[in-house]
Amino acid sequence: MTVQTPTLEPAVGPLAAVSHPRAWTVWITVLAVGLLIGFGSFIYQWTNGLAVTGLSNTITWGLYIVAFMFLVGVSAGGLIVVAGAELAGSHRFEHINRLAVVCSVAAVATAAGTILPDLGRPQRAWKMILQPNLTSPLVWDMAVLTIYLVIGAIDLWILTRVPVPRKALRVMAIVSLPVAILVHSVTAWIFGLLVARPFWNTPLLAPLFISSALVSGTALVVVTGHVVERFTTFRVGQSVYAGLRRLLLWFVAADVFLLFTEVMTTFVSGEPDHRDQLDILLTGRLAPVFWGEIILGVAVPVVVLLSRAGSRPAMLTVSSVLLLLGVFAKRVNILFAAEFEPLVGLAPGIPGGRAGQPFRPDEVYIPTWVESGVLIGMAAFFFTILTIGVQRAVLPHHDGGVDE
Amino acid sequence: MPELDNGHPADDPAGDQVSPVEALPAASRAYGTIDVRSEHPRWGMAVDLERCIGCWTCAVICKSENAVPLGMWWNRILTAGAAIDTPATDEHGRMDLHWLPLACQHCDDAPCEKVCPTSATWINAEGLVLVNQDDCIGCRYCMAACPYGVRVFNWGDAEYPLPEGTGMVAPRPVGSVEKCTMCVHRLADEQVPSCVWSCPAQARIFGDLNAADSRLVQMLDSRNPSILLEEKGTRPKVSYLEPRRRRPLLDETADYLNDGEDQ
Amino acid sequence: MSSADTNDSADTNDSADTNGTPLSSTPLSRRALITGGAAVVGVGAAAVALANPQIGSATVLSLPVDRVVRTTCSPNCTGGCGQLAFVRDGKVVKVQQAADYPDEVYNPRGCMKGLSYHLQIYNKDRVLTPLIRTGERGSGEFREATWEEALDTIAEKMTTIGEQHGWDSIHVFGQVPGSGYVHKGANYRAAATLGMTHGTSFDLNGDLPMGMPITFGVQNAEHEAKDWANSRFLLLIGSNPLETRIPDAHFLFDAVERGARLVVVDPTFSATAAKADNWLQINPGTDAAFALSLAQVIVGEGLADLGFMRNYTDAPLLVRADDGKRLREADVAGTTADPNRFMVWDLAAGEAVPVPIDRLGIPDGVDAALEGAFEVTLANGLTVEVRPGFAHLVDELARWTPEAAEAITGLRPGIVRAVARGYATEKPSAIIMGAGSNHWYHGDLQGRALALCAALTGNIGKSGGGFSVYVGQYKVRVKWGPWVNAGEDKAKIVASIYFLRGPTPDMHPDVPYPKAGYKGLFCTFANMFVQAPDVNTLYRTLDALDLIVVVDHQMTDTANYADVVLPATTWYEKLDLTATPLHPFLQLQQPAIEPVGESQSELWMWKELIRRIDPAKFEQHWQVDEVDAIRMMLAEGGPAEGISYEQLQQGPVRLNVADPDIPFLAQIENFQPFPPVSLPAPLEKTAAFVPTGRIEFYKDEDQFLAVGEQVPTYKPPFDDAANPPADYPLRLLTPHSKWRIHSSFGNNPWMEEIHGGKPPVLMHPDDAAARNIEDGDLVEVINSRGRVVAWAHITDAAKVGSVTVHEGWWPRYFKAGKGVNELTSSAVNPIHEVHYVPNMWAPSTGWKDCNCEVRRA
Repeated sequence: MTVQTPTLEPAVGPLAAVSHPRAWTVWITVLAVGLLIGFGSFIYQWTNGLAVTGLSNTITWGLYIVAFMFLVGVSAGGLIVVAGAELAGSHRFEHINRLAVVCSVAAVATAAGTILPDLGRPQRAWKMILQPNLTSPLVWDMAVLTIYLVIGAIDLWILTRVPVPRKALRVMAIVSLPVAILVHSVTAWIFGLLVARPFWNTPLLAPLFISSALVSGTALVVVTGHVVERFTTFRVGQSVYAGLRRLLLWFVAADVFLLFTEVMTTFVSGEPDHRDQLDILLTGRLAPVFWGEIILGVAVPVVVLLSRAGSRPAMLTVSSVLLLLGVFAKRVNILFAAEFEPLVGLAPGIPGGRAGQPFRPDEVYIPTWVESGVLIGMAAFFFTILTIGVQRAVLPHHDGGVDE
Repeated sequence: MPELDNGHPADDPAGDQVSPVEALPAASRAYGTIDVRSEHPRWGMAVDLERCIGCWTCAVICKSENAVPLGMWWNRILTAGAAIDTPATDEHGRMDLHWLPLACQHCDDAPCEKVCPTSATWINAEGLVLVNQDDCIGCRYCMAACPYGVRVFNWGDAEYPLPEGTGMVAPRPVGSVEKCTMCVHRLADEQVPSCVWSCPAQARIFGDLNAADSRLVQMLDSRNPSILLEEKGTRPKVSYLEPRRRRPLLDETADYLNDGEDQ
Repeated sequence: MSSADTNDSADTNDSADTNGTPLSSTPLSRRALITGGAAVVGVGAAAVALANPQIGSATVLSLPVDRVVRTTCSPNCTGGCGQLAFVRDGKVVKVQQAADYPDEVYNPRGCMKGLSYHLQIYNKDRVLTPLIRTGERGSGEFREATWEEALDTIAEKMTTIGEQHGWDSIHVFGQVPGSGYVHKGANYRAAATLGMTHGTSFDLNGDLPMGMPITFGVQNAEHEAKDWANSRFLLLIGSNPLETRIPDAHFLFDAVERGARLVVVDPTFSATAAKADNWLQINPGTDAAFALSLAQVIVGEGLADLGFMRNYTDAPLLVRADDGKRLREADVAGTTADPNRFMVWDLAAGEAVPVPIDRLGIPDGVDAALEGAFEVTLANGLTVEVRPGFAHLVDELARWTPEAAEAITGLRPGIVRAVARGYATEKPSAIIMGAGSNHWYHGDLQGRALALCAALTGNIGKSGGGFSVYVGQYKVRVKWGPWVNAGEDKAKIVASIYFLRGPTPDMHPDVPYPKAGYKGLFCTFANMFVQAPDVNTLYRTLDALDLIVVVDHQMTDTANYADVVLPATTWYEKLDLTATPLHPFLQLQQPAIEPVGESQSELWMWKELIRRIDPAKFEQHWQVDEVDAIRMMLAEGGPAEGISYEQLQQGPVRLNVADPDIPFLAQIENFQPFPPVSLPAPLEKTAAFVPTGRIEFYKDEDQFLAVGEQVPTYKPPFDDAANPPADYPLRLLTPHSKWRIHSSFGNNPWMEEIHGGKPPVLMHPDDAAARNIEDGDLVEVINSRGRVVAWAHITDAAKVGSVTVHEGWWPRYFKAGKGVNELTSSAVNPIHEVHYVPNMWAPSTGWKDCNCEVRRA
């Protein structure tokens, strides 16, 4: 994702120049160690099979898929902010355009990467490309994610031109907005089209994925912007913060509305299997996560954002972090509510899959250290791309690019 | 190694092996032969829930026949009750206990087949939903998509209770999904699936849905079959014959109405 | 829940399915998993067309095998199921039913246990070499030994014991001879050769239904299983074929499909009860009271077949009022004929007349009274009052109206009357009695009372009828004398309960209990130290022994306690001959593979031991192999007449018995006196059980008179004396489990996967709540004899006041204890000691006579 620019600085230039050499070293070390842990864990898992995860024949998808759903979501921020503003004719967010797109690209690339460790046989992943089954939403998603990634890269390339070719940007906006919406919809449809999972099998799932993608994507831009601002000469600017704050509130409102509609419909009139899975959230095993999400991940940040304190970048950032955690929790809830309660739930249940754990009627899923290791690696991968992107595409153009 | 003291032959040297169907005694082979089939069969099965006694014989022979490792079952016997082999009690205090043998339903409109990204899951010309392990990448999307929860995954190296494994087919590789094949390897020799062969209660009927004179079609016609999760639209080829109505002797002195026992 | 409420729930179940569709009212899933009547035929062509054609190349191939061997699965379940062993590279890789019975209703035969037998062959517990103990007994410390050393050690030790204390102080114990005549017979032949005593199993197992010899003079006699299908009314009591007789369970459905009614009497809502038209939740151990109330209704409502009672039973035979004995011809003045004849009262002639003893029935012209009291002048001039035996029955039945029985059985009179009417009118009707009814100290009374119902309705000797007790693979169906005897020498047979607990005061003088007591045990085909009753008493006996040899293929707790363990072959590694009570086919066990490890057959072991101990007798009796033994038995004819070894090699061969195989046909159709022969005992031995030659409901032996059991009656569970209900208020039931055959298959990995390996203690919610016990809690089950610790399973299926722990769990699965038989009783009922013919009239264990308490551990 390198972007050649005429004003190329030394790779570590701007950061180091802002006199945080120690922080920089620590950060690079953390990323390197993270990547190493991730890579090691992945190799270990590949050698021993997914038996080293906490997954079972009941909980067939776990942390990796949560991370996938989450990362696809946060990738929304960049392209939607850039394209949306462009199409709306607004220039307010122009100078964080590149930052936003970098966030998107990092998220999409990592999301695609999370699929690999989830596969039982990663060495055969190529079959998905060479002999795709066109009725599989997973194939659709693979295609649309690839397109999304390409669009992000092109956007970034356009944005790093001097001066920015506005016409190209506008064309890209027209292309990327529907693709962005499609990315979240198709990702939702991976789950939403399954008759086997009533909790997923709702037409609202795609809108819900879009709304929470907008929340988490925007929140990621805020957090990244603020952190970069802290350590570099990059400045987000008060009016951008204000705009992002307003966007966040609207997005959260939409997200809460859709969630409420879903819960309300299911609670009052939903078909029983769907209702059973909802009950896992409302009163069952996932209730702490669900209500934690509602209180800490929605209510608290909304109150902060609405309050005067919300205008302070630090508080805005804290709210965004909470919103991100809230969306992550939501992904956890969506995935496991459906998996905890299989449609055919009679005793003795579904065989666990390994010798010594034949049947597991009351499924518990505890991710193992291997999964945690791989997840650390994914996070490191994401931040590495983000760091490189900020280094190469954001900071070098800061002075020369659009400004407030 | 002490020799057999009863004049039985020593083991055949390796390489001198025969098909397990050809090696069957004639009477056994005749027992297991599929009754009638049409030119283009569509295989199906019925399970008589009145006859099912929850013994797991079908599940065990499936495990044996198909080299299913420890911790995994292609075919299992669910208890329609409170817990395994435990009745459920309704609000009137009435107990009820049935079993529901569950394996792949071989859906005509199989959700697993639609979502498989590599078409590793496919439906053969005789309507059987099969997994081609060569193409399986182990994404487990089919497991998420199956409403019946009948697919199992090879999480790690297979473990067997026998030194050299069991079964009549090769085991599946680590990282791939597997499930009931309707003993497609036996069908090739005109033999019924092993669970059908072995059901001691004769609760399983296998046959060609396209053959009007097969016992299966006749049973389905006469017994008002049900299918599982019909509302999901998967159109299974496995049907269930419902338990019979009871013919209880009545206690003439009991006031069933006032006991709140009548419906 | 009060007991009255419990009745309600029982009856509720009766009515549950009268209306409504069974499934829509049952939670087959949390929601209606099964939806009604879909047309599944004819759809799907479209889906096939959509299938991805180019992917369709992959297929699944059958792997080849070395060979497929036809053999017989024969643990102690009575199944006797023909199996095929699929052998690849010298190993059994699959076991599947042979399904080759010429009578196709028997196909397939076999259950999940038999089909997972290869997991036993290669089990991690398999004993692979001879082992000699190095630590304390039971410590599990052994060293591997060569056969040479092990056999020399045993031979030397046995010789020492034999010479010092007498050979009879060595007890050879082997289970269920009927399931393998050659190798189990070798035990007897060895005992006969050396003068050792051989134990019994049918009686020790509590399976000997003492009601049968007492009533019919036979060891046991049951209809072959396929005859269930010919019934119109099946009354199952204490029997749970769906779990314990899996290969035959379908015959119940066959009957039901032909319109039969299925009534199940069981304290527990068993699998079989779940399939019944009526389930009667009886109080444990009160079956006799229930049966008597059935009989009361049958007689009281005039539904009895009195002609049958006159012709075939002792009902018309006169009983003296003065001493309670039957009136004999010799007692009566003026008669000079055969003194053994019994008398009836001829209402036509107004006098007592003799009936023939060599033929059933009543002589023409005689109108034999069944009721009333008459005066007879005896030869000695005295006048005594006499009454027909039936009058005594009627007196007893008068006490057992359904209303009177309700307090004991807990069953509502209305439903008992309905069952009695149904049973008496919907004929042929069969009573199937199981271990749940038989395994009581007073199991004989329960059996006698049920037999009475069958006789009262004329259901004896009729296809679809009968009183059948299915417990234990006891039946020796060939004349095996030449094989089990060593020339003229026969094994001395001691009921193993006496080995376990020592002689009782009332032990019959014919029991050849060793004068010096026991010094050695040679235990084969058995996990005795887990599966015998009252094992804590047994362990005290064992401590006094100088030698314990255990032959097994699994390292059971019994083997673990041995001085020397010898590795046995499984039945897939040896040749044997077998049959079962459940079906009439004679079958071979044929070796499919070579012996695993250094294991050897029992015959080989005995030959090697006897060659060392007594070379002369070895020369004389032991120059034989399995085929010789089989030929010896077949050559004796009888039921095996005309059957050759070569024929058996090809598959199952039906014995020369009626089709369907029904007991007492000769008696009912040809008026031959009872009893028919019970192999292997000579007829005169068992004929002594029923001196009248008739079905006897009135017993006039002194012991019966002394305890008031002349006619079938009800007596409360016996254990109340040893474990007073005040301290031990719960009845411990130890039924057979479907996951095991006793303890066999207890360590089977596939069975473990299904049942989970945690012994459940089944309790009713009310009993659990009273003890503050929740589902899954660790609880101890305790009484004065012992204790085990396991996991509570709270279920409405359990009867209030009862606790169920299935027998056969290996001790290692419990949290603590030597198994549930720490609690069971080895009490001996003196009635079982009136005669002594091993396994035929001998002490039958009352496993379920066992009170206990349960508390959180």
